[in-house]
Amino acid sequence: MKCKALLGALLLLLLVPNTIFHAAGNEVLKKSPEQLVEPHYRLILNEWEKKNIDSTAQFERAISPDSFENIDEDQLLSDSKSYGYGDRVVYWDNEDTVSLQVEVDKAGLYEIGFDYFPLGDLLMPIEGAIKVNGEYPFFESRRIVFPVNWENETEKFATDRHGNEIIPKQQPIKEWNHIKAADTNHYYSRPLKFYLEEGINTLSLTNLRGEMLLGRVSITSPEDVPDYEEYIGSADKTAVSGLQTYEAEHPLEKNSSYIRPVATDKVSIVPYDSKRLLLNSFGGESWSESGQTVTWEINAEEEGYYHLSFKAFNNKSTGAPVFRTLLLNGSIPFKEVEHYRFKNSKKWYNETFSDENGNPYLFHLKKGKNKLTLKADASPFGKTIYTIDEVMKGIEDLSLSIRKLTGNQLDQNRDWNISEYLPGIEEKLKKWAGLLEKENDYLVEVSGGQESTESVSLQISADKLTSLSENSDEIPYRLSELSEGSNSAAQLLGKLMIDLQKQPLLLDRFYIHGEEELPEVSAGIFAKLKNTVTNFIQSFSGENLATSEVEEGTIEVWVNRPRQYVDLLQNMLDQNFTPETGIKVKLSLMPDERKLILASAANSQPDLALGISNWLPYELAIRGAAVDLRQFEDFPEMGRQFSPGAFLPLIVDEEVYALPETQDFFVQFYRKDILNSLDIPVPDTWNDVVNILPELQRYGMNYYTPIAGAVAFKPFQATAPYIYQFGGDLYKEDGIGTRIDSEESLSGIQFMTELNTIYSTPLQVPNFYNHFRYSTLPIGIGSFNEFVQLTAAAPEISGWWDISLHPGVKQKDGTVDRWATGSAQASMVFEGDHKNKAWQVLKWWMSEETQTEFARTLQTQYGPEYMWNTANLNAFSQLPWPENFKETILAQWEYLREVPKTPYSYMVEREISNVWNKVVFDGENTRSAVDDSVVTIDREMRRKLEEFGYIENGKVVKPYRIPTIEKVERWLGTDDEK
Amino acid sequence: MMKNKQNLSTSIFLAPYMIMFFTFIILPVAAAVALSFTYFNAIEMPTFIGLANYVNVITQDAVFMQYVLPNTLTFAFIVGPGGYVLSFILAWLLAQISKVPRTILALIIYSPSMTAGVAMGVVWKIIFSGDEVGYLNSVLIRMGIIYEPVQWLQSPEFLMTIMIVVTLWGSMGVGFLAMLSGVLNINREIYEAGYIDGISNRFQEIIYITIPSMKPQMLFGAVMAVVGTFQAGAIGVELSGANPTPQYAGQLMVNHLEDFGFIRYEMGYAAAISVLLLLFIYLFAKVAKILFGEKD
Repeated sequence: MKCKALLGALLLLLLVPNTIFHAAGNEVLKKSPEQLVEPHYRLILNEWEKKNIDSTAQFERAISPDSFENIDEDQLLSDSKSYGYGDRVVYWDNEDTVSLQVEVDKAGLYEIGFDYFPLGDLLMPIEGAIKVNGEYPFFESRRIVFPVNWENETEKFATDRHGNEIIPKQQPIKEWNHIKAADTNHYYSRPLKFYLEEGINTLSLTNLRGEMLLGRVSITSPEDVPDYEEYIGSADKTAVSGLQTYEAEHPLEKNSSYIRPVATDKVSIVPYDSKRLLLNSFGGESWSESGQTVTWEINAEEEGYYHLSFKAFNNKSTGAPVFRTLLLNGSIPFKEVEHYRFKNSKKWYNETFSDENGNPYLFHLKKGKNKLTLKADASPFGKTIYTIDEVMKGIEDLSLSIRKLTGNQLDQNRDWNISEYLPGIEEKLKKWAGLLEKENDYLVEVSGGQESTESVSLQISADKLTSLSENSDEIPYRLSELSEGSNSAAQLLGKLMIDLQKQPLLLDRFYIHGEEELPEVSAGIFAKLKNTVTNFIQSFSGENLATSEVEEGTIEVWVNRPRQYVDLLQNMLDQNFTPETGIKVKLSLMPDERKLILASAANSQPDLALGISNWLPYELAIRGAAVDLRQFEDFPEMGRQFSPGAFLPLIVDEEVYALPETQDFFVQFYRKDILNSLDIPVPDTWNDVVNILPELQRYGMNYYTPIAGAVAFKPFQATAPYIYQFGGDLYKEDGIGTRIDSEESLSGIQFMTELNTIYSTPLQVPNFYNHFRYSTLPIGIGSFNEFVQLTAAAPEISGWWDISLHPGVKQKDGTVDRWATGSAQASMVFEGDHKNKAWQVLKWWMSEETQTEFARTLQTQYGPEYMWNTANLNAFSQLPWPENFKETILAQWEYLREVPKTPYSYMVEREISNVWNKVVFDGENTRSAVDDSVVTIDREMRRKLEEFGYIENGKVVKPYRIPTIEKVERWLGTDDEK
Repeated sequence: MMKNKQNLSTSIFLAPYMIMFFTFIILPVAAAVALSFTYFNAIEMPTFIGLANYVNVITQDAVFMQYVLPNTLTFAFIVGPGGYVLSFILAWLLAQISKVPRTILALIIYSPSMTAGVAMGVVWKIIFSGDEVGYLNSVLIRMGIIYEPVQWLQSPEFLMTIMIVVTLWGSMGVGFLAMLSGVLNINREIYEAGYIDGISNRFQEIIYITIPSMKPQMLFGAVMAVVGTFQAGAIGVELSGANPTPQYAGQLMVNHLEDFGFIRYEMGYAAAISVLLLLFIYLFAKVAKILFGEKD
């Protein structure tokens, strides 16, 4: 009887929420954020085709800046300021909008071209948006990039102190360019087409980012590219004989600063030297984004037809071929080289441009200089990427609505009749599977039959969707196959999409030739053997390690950073610092920073150490192995450029022992799409967080805090913010004892544990970045690390997430206290004869100019993911990061408060972690756990303070002064400014 | 004259071993003992403070007495004898089967002990991961036994047990191989003689013949087990992610030593703990010797 009643109640329960969820679920399906913006270009193209709208007859019209509307008089520059354009030009920046009228005789499709002259620092691309007759015609028109060509500052590669060639600095070529509006992702090899009405049309061009001079705007009808037969004509052509060789690593220009020469350690690559690293090949991973062009200058002795061959290497890890578009003097000579395939191979090979049957193509070169351009080209995959993207969005919506339907239930034994709640789900899945399979066939065809992991994962995803569609009632507990987890269809597709876009190709050299034999690709067996033996012998004389000898008078610097950073810094020192000051500096890699302690014990410490953890200077300083930086006269001037809160752990008593070098930040990351569709506001205080938690958890989602990211031991960065935000403190002002048992600190700790015990935020999350992408944790507090990962390696959600300030505690006056730590790396000077010179080096290194240049060079040479989070605030505000992110981070840094170090701070850190552990796992009362901890901390404190002479025989003989932000500001002389 | 020459050649032949033994064993041990009588903060010169470090360990170090010592002993008493008995049983079982499967199985059983603690930690961390994608949590949730992921590695309740399981899994080391060869080397005729003398089952075989005939291997295995268990320490830190382990639940002597040496920079104190550790090992090895040593 009881049993039956229970069953009945259960049934009732099951019925009620489902109907509610059902309604909510449908609504979400209708309202995807995608539909707020215009449809994709691909859809519009299809529509035009259906409606039979096509380009018109040959048409060309250029509109001079004189007739632009909607501009201020001072924006229109005279010819003399136009950098030799020969007409008046418009200075275009700062979200200006320029409009112009164009009259066309016939309605149809046209391309829009621009003359422009780039200005500014050009680290971030110049971007604009185009409206036609007051509307964005398609999504792609919201973002048009005006590319800038870059060249090496010096043509010859300079060498570093070991004779290895170094990547030359990059400089933008400031010259007038012409570009036709194209899509930013380069999924279409041709420029974008715009539909213009008969008569007068209004075009408006809005600046999104960057600055440039805008010249004439031209409206043209789309050009047609001839095919090879047309190009070559009927006459019998023969190639001009002779073999010319060009080294690919010396291009004339490229449209992305970080396509770089590579030192390939292989005897067959020209040039090669077994003793040193020569930059002998070009491109590779750095040349894999679609649309990246590289241009070489070639010299034809006579006008005529030539063959063209590249010594190339493509071992893209997925096994797929890559594509390049060939342009001669700025235009594609014939259709066959518009998407030219370089096959995937484990070996270098000579690729002579030729047709499917191996007959080499002839290219017409004019006498004298010609420009040869290769453009990385993912456009053959454009359609596939688009389909995958659509399917992924569909999957995301579907899984969100399933989540809304099932809530956070994990019960495997509950049966669902899913098609009743989500009608058409089976057909939908089947349709997606079909689409993917069709794309797979296309992929294999485009790749020329070469097997690749891309096509395999496409097939697997399709199979998964098919299998789910056949058992649709199981979907609620098979979400791991659909959208969650690393092996789900959505994740496979996401990864596949990134892979498809990458088109890396490494080139050694290329040949302009007639019917001649090309030089052998690989070196002979004896050359290889000889090289192996020499290499082995050379391996006994490495010079880059921290232990190698230096000459007298050289400043020794140990750097705890990867090789690229050290090399770059060494070059900057050699080129800028040493000539100016006469101080020689030698950098060495330091793989383990703890070596500094042993080195100090053995009195073989360096003069300066960079990139060390910010707790290390204190440990060295309190044991007398570091140099107080306040003894240098210009310390305040230097120190003013940093957040005062970042100095706190670097201070012993009245002395500062290190400068912050990089700086972390803790900000709130959130998924705009998910919060929008669930109608959840972005929380500003912890109260708001607590308020949105029930709603999030109803859908099986949650809020991430760094507590969950830490391993079993919770460091200060995870725990201290709560204490500070609730107005508490860690130490007593005289440094003798802890204040974690004060009312404020206690409420902070209490809240920290309640987040886990009452509000059940996750206890352990090994990887927030993944959960954020899988949308199981759509909101949480992350740091620089997550920021880099999400910017560089989460294309599927790019644009759909944002950052905001760390949630805090509302104060009585209405402000919100958002204190958070920002511990990163520091740099310190060591005792020794050279400490003044070492301080000079450090000053130079942390100066605004050097930091800015370092950050810029790092990104121009190695790509946008090499972000440098400098601690120098002036330099940080000049970093080439998106402005809105930078603003948020700088605002958060106003609330930067590192935990000061004391001789016993590890014990405080440890005990707070233990308190958390006791309360969360053992269910102990917070106050009693804290009281126990205070006893332990006090004991350790007395022991440690006695060790360092602050306490003798149980009596305090001198106070231990805890540094405060106010004190630091006083030292730096910034306190009166506030 | 002749005798001198002989002495000289003996010394020369012994020299490589003596030099190595001196530099890599005697010297570090002597240095540790010497340092244990000093205050040494890793940077400044050590200062002599007599027995103060030892006095502190015994009278003031609450963590050592309250957590580290009990933990180490629990760990050692379960993993040491447990691993030892397990080694013997497995060795004996393997000796019963034919050569090819024996070699393969022996290799499989031996291999975990070759992997370093770090690699082991990586494998087991995935299994015991505290979110719902951890293997064990995932299986248990799927079976409906638990509803929320259990924090295997953060919660003090489970950490020690998991450490013991993982260490047992990896404890079939050299001792196990020695025992295997010991079992295999026993002359079959002894068994036959035993049966004639009235042995009636396999258990009696083990007790009266197998174990007595392989005493040297048993001793070797026992000493290895003792040394191994006291030296083990990486595993707790590796599993929980940081030193110290939560609420010192998995803190062993080696962790305590590292805590003082590399977190608090009290090398002298750490040296004192290491000397104590050495004494413990010596003591337990002595016991093993009494149990299994040849009495002659």
